[in-house]
Amino acid sequence: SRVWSAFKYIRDVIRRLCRSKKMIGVNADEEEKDTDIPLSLNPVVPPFDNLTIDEESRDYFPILALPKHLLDIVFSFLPIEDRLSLAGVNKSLNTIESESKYYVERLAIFKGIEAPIPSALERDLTN
Amino acid sequence: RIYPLMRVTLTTSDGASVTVSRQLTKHSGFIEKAITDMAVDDNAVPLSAVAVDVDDATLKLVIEWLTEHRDDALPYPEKTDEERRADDIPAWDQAFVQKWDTKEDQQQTLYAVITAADKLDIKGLLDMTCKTLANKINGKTVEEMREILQLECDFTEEELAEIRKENAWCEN
Repeated sequence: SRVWSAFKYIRDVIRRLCRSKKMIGVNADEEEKDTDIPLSLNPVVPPFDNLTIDEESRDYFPILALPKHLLDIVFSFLPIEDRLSLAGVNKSLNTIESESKYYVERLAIFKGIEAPIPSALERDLTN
Repeated sequence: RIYPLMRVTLTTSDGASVTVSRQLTKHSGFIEKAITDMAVDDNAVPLSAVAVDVDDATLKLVIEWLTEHRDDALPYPEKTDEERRADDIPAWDQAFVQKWDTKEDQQQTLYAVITAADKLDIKGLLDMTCKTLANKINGKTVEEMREILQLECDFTEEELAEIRKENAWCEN
């Protein structure tokens, strides 16, 4: 089991560091059996050969793997609000979105002081 | 003399072979160009095998779509930026994509079909699948997009504040 493997690994590390078999009270038979556990050079990942890590396998769309010209097509079907949201996801998408060849065809800006502004921008600028 | 080639055998990246009608392959710019390039002089007999960089499972989906759209007009009508919208996917195409919802790897399937449509230069299928992806993102918040696309935010707080400031004009 994982717990037993982890225990054996830690015990082996302590054993080698202490270089004293009596300190950890392991009998000779068990010590002989466990001497094949290798020490890892990586301080983070122990060398558990028989340890399977239960990784959560989730299906997702690898959007950053798409070539630039395909991302351009996807962006072309999105309204400006969604494109700006997408640009706020992470740095890679921010760069890609800003370099996208599709742009807003027109932008209406209203300036008013007394009269209320019905809409500061056209809702669907790309359609 | 170019021999009329009625059927084309496609060999996939994983070694499978699929024979399809030329009526289907005419929608693929890549396959049509390959066939044309093979028959360059009078003595040349058009080869019936075209290698495609698409795996067998994905090619089957592409062929299923091509079979439904075999009578679509060619060339594929180009649309201007203003005419581009994602809510006009035909009913059959919507059902075709929704069938993947039962698959564990539906997103990977969509990715595979998009890239296959690009490699095979099938503009109708490419547009439809890109619209499908756009619809998955459309109307979502930034956090929801990160969840859907499994992407981590790597902006600093200062950068996020700057982005919010820049995009403030667009918020409803």
